[in-house]
Amino acid sequence: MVKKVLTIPEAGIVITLVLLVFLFWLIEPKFMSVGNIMGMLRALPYTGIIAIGLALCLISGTIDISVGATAGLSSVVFSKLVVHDWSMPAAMALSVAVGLLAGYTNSVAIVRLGVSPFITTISTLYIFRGLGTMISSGYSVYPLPEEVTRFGALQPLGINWPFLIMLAIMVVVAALLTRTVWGMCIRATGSDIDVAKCNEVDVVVIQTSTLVICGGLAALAGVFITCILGAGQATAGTGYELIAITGCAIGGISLFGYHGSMIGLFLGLLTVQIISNGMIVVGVPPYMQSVVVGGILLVSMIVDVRRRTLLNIEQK
Amino acid sequence: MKKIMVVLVILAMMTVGCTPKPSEYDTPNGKLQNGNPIRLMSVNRLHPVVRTITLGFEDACRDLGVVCENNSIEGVDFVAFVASVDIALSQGTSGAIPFVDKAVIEADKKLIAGGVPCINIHTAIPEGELPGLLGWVAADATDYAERSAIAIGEKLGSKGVVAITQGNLNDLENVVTKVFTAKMNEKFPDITVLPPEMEGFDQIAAIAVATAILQKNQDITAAFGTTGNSPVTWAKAAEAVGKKPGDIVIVGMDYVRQNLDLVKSGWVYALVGQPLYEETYRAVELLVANLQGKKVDYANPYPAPIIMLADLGKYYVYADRVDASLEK
Repeated sequence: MVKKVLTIPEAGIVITLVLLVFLFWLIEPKFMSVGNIMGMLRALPYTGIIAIGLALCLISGTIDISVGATAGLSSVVFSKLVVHDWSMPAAMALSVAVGLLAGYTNSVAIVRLGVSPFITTISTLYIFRGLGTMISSGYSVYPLPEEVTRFGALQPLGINWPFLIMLAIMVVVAALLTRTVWGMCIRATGSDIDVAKCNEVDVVVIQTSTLVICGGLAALAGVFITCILGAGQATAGTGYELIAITGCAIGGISLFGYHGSMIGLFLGLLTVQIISNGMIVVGVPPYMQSVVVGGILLVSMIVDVRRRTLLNIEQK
Repeated sequence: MKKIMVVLVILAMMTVGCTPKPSEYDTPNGKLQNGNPIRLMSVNRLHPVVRTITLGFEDACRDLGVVCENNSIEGVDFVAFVASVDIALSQGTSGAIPFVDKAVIEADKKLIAGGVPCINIHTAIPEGELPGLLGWVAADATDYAERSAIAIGEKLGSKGVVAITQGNLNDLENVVTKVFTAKMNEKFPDITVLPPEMEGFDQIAAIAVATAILQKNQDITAAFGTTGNSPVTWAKAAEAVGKKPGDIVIVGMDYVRQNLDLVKSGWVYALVGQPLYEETYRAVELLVANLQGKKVDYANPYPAPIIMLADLGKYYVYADRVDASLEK
C-alpha cells in the first residue's frame, strides 16, 4: 500500500508539504489560521501563472528565462493603455498579445533558427526589460484609473481573481496535457525530439506553441501585478523566472523535458509560498531565512530523489 | 594619402566629440571646471527616488552655472559602478557625488585618490572612514527614526503594537530600526515593538510578507517601514486583511507621488521626507564652493520632516516636476 502511494509522481512533494505544514503549525498555530492561508493563496498567482507557461516549455524540452521581463513589459503596456483611456479588457487583451508576440519572437530564434533556448531567452530578457523601460522612461506609470485598482483589491471567496484564474488555467492546461494529441506531442517532443520527429510530431509547431503560450501567460501575470500594485512598472516580475523555475523543479517538472503535471506544479508553488510565509510566522530571524529556505528546498528535492531511487522510478 | 585623410577625419571627430562646447563652460563657475563636469554617480538611475535626487542635481547645476553629467547606472550593479568610476577618472571630473557603500568602497577610494573632490549624499559618513572625502549631506537617520517613533507613539495614544519592516539588512536601515525601537521603548513603554522583518524590494513579495506579519500579530496597530516601497507595502497588506484607512498607523519613507496619494487617502499616516532634492542640491553647492577654493564643512546634516496630510502641497510640487521632466 505504502509503495503504491509512493509511486504517485507527486508523492515526494506531498510528503514535504505535509511535514512543513505540520512543523510550522506545531511551532505557531496561527500559521493555519484562515487569514494566513488566504494570504498565502493571494500571493501565489503572480509567479504561479508565469510558472504554468514555463512548465509547458520545460515539458516540451525548452525553457524561457525571459518570462519575468515579459511580465514587466506587459505591466508597462497595460498601464500606458489604461492611462490613455483604453478599457481594461481591451488593454488586457493587447498586453497579452504583446506577451504572445514576445513568446513568438523567442520561438523564432529557438525553434526555427536553432539558437539555444537559454541564450535566446536571456537575450530577450534584456530586450523586453529594456523595451518596458523605454516605453515608461523608467518611471512607474501612475496613477491608474480607479477600475484597475478596484479590480486588484477584489477578493472573491476571500482570495483574489488572479488566484482563481490561475486555478482555471491549470485545470485547462492539465486537461490539454493529458487528454489531447497536442498534450501527448508536447511530452513526446520533450522526451526525445528526434524520436518525436520520426513519429511525425511537428516539433516546430509544438515548441512554438508552448513558447507563445508561455509569453502570453507571463504577460497576463504582468497585468495582474499592475492591478494589485496600482502602478505599472518595467521592473515588475524581476527575478520571477527563478521563483517559477524553483516551483516547477520542486513540483516534479523535469528541467530536461517530458515529466510534470499541473498538480505537481501547484504543490511546488505552494511549497515555496509556505516556506516564505512560514519563516515569518514562526519567527525565524531575517538573517537566517535564506539559509533555512535553501535548506528546506534542498531537503525536499533529496526526499523526492530518494523516493524515486527506492522505487526504481526513472529519473530525468 | 587616403588613409591619412581617414585618420585625420577620425581624429578631428574624436577631438570635437571629446571637447565640450565652449559655451557650456562660459560662466564664472564653469571656467573653474577646466572642461571637466561635476558627475552624479548614483545607482538605480531610474528609481523614482533617484529621479528626485537627479532633479536637485540638475537644478543646482543650472542655478550655479556649472557643467554636470549624470553618470548614474541602472540597477544596483556594483561592477558597472566600478567601471563608471574608471570612466569618470579617464574623462576628467571636477567633482563627484558618488554612490558610497562598503561593497564599492575601493572604487570610491580610487575616485578620491584620483584627485576628484567627492561629496556623499543620503548617509552620514564618520570622518576618517573614507579618507579624503570632502564631506557629506544627509538626513540624520537617528533623528528621523526617533521622530517617527514619537509620531506613531503619540498617534497611538501610548499603547499598541508596532511592526517594522526593512528593505534588507544594511547599515542605514539597521540603525534606523534600532533607534526607532529604542526610542519607542524609552518614551512609550506600553507600546510593543516587534522585531524587524525584511520586506525585500519586490513589491508583491513585500505585500505577502506584511500580510503574514498582520496575520500572525492581529493586534498590530501601527507599522513602520524603512524603504520607499513600505507605504505601498503596508497599505496594500492592510487592505488585503480587511482593514480600513487609518486602522493601522503606517509610516514609511519618501515623498514619491504614490506615497503622497496614500497619505491623502488616509491609508498612510505619515512619510519620512528624506531630503532627496535638497541634499543633492547642497552637494553641488559644496562642490562648487570647493572649486572656488572655499572651505567646505565636512558634516552637513539636513532635517527629514515627518510629512503628514497638512504638509502634502510642497511635496506634490516635486512630484509634478518629476512628471514634467518625464514629459520633456
